[in-house]
Amino acid sequence: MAPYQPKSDPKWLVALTLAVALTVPFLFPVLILLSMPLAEPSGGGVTLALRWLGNVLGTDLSGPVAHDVGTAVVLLLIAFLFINFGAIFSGICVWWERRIAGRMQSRIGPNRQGLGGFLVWVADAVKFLLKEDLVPAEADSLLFRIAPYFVLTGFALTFVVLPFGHSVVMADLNVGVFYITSVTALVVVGILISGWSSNSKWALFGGMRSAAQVVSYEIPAGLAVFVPVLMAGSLSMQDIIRAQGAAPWDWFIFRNPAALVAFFVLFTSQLAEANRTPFDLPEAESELVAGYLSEYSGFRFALFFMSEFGNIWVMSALATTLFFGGWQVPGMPAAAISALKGTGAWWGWQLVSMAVFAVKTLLLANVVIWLRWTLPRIRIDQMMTLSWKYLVPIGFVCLIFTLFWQLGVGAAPGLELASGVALSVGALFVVIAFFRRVFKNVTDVRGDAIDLSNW
Amino acid sequence: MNRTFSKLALWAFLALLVALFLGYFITRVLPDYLPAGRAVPPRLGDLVFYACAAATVAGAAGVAFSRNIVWSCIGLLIALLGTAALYVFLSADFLAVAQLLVYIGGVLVLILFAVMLTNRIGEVNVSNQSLGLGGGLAVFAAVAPLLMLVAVLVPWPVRPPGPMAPTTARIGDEFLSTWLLPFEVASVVLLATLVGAVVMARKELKAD
Amino acid sequence: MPTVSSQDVLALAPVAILALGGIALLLSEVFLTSGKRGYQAFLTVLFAATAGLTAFGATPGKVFAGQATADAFSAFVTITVSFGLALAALVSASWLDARGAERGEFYALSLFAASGMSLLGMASDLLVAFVAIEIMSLSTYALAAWMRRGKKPAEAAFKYFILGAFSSALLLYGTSLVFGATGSTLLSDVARGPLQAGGSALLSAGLVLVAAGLAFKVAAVPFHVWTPDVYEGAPTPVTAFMAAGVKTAAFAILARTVLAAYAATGGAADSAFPRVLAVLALLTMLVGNLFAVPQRSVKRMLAYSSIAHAGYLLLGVLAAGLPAVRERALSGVLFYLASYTASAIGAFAVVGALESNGQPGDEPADAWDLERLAGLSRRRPLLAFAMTVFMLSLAGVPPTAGFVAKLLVFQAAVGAQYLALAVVGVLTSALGAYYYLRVVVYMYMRPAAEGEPAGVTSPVLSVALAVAVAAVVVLGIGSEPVASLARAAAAVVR
Repeated sequence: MAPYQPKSDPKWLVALTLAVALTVPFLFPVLILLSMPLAEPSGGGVTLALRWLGNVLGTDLSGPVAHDVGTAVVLLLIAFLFINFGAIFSGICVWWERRIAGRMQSRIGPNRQGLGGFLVWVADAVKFLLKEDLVPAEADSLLFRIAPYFVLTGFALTFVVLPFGHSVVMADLNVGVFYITSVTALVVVGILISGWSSNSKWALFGGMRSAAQVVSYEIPAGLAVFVPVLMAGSLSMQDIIRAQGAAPWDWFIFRNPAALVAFFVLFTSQLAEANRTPFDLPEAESELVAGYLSEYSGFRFALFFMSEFGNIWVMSALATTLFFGGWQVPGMPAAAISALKGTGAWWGWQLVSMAVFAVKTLLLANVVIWLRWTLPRIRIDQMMTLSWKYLVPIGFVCLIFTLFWQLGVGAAPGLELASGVALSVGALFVVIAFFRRVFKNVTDVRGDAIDLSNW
Repeated sequence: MNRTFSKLALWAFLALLVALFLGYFITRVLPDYLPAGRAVPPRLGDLVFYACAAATVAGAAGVAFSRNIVWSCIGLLIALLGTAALYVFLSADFLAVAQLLVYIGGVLVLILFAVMLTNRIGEVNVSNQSLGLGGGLAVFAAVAPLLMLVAVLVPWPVRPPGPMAPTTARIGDEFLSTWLLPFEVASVVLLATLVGAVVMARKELKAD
Repeated sequence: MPTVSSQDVLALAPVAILALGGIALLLSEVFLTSGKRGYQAFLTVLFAATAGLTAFGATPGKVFAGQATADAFSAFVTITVSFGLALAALVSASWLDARGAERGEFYALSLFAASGMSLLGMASDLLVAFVAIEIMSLSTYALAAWMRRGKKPAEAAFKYFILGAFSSALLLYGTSLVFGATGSTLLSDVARGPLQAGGSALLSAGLVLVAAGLAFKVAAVPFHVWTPDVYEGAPTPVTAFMAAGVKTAAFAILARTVLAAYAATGGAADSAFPRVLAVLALLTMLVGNLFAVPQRSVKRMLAYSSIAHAGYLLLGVLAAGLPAVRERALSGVLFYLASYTASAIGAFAVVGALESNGQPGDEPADAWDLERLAGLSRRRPLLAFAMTVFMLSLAGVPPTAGFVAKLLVFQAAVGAQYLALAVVGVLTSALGAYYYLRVVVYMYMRPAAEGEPAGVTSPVLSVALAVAVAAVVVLGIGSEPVASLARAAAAVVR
């Protein structure tokens, strides 16, 4: 009897699925790009739009009240776009994660609902919306109901300063990175409240673990963030990107040996802050049912998961911004893009810069997912030890090293380039060696090329 | 003093506060916006400002009057968020974000954490004595007239808020020049506090 | 942009030495191998002595654009605080050692507190003063909780922390109002009065709140309610250090603030500010002494007596408002602080030496009852003699330091035309003599109770007591060197 052969989808369907999966969430940033002129701080865009609308409707809309209403509408519209980007990205991320998990565990993963299983996240979302919204007896029902919105707010507020491309950012705040670290604090508050208000010991333990974890890892994360901030001399996200270049040796991560270390400190801390494996103690299924999520169902559960998976984008985008040159397009420096302003080509280059940023971010997001299915969950004492005994001291060393490094760069500007070239070449070798190793392992097992048949 | 009375007194007090606020708002603030006044309709910024100010006051009242300590924490959260928003209106961007980071990310989370570490947290209705009426009213009677008189009597200089200029670099410069002494000495405060916290949190001292 | 000169840094050397000493003692605990900690107290004494000597030799002048002032006044405060720290460290060594609770952190926190106190003596900016007060207070909160097992110590630490935090909030609120009125937190700018007409209400409200915050720290009535419980519940050597050091530092900044406030509110005699201060002084003298009389617990009696002494000191600060007697009044206050430091630490040291050696939780409810002192003259004659000297000094009986101190302060008060207050001061001092001398009566004229333990004896404690006794007597008989130092110190504060 022939062994079971999974039904394999045609290659064109796989390609189409991937193309759609990558495109759908980015329709929203494109719409945001289109709405950027409306969001100018001077309000000029709104004035123009109102004048046009007044002409169409035949009324005078030039008064201050109309302007205020128009501004509010524009802000709401952009907020709507951002939140939907987060929601749809997290939906697709769930699907992507399940497919990767399937591959890494030698099983199939979702492959039924439409387009080779791609629509499973839509089915999930519909299911969540239709489920009953349960509030446990004896729970503090109001707090229980509002807790997910704290989490959602903390997550959604980060999009205010998160860049998507050369000019695609809601508000390039002067305190950008600092702002991101501080608004994520609302997530912790939401988690603590949800843990307490559920009136369940599993939820309470989960909430406490989460708070302990996030508070501990905020410190190394903050220290690591300071390294690129010192190198750029600014807290603004766009300024930090502008201080870097498109080529790998112009990225902050390679321009300073301490930044390379700081990146790993930041990445580890952010995994912990986002409750991702191996730091998923707050929702450890085998010990705490689902931690602070235990009592949630339906839409509120979906909100938690939406921000949790959406956080993968936030953390990857932050790392891309701080260490990997952001949206810098090779061969097209930022000044050259700005010079195109007013022409059609400007919009094109915006799209290119968004694509560069998205590709870098998605590659990092992929690493996040990959880690989840590779590493086991660590114990709580190991989690604390890692933060306080390793990451915090390393973070301080990086910070102090960077201070001296910047002094050295001031004296000898060639230092940065030398470090950049040396470290990026080294990183290239590591990546090549890694892929050769993986390829060898895969071919040793299967004896032939990588098998994509279960798509 | 029985419970009904203290409850009634509490509500009367709250009603008085609300009435005072409304009275102030209607007589002092609103006329500027009415057609008879300066004929300036409230702009979006004004509305947001009053919303933030009201939320701050309401949050602070929640902290003081809630009988449930977790609800007090939520009140504190709202008050702190409102304060951060008011800083934004004063063009103090760095301060606003620092307020978020320190007070919500640090202080509030620690308070919630401590509340959850306390005994009997399983009972949802953890209530605290919301008002020691006699003492509270005495202190209020002593302090409130003073502060209210000051608030009313002083000719506060009115200045339009500055433009949203970046403040971070200036704050850094000031810390390391004009305010170097308190800034550096503050590190001793933090060290002493850390040592003190460890001293209090450790196990009972035994001869070793 | 102001630049920082070497003078700025050198003037702060005493503060830096005390803080670095704290760090050194923390590190000594890290590298400790033998478990022997006897040297830590001596290290503390060494750092205190160095700081005191450095303060003595510091070049006078304003530092950090007037935020701090290194002058004879601050040097006197630093030397007094260092002296108190050294005495308290020696007393602590034997007390803690007997309970197995001696740790480097204790001395580190004491040194941090002393660095805050020393800075407080220099501070001439409300913001710097606030930070210095926080260093001092946070360290002493932790010290008060050092032996926290048992109901009383826990209550003491908790009360001290909550009320101290409240007073800091008052101080900060007042500072912000003062800043709003004058546009500056520098005391020299505050003294110039409000920026614009009509701002004086704001300034007064701010100054009143600042004064209330400081009144908490010096335990003036009606901000004194924490004092008896905290002084009684805290470990006795900590109480000694708190009573002497915190009082000295808080009065230093209070004096500077009050002088600025006098100037800001226009002259001394006819403004409301002195009247408020006079009421505070009157209440503090009366309440402190009257409540001390019925106390059977010696420690609690000393706590109330410390409130009473705050009243006399307030009287001195009040008199300093009049420019004619300012120098005399301030030198009296400074001398008073020095003499109180020696007497109070000595008295608390004796009380601590008589406590049983168990954990504080094991103490009976009447741990510090007068009965335990009965017959002390026969059991431990030298200890009884030392206690007698301290009691006489606290009561203000010649030829001790306390007498000279009271004399100087009351003279200044009379000179400033606060006759009624001075009379109240003398009468309450006479009342004070009753409860202080009652202790002496118990020690010498009552038979010892059966089976009363002898208490701690240690050479370190003996040295500390001998130094304290010597200081009290020397300050009492040959008061002139220190008094002239105090006069020189007072002369620089305008």
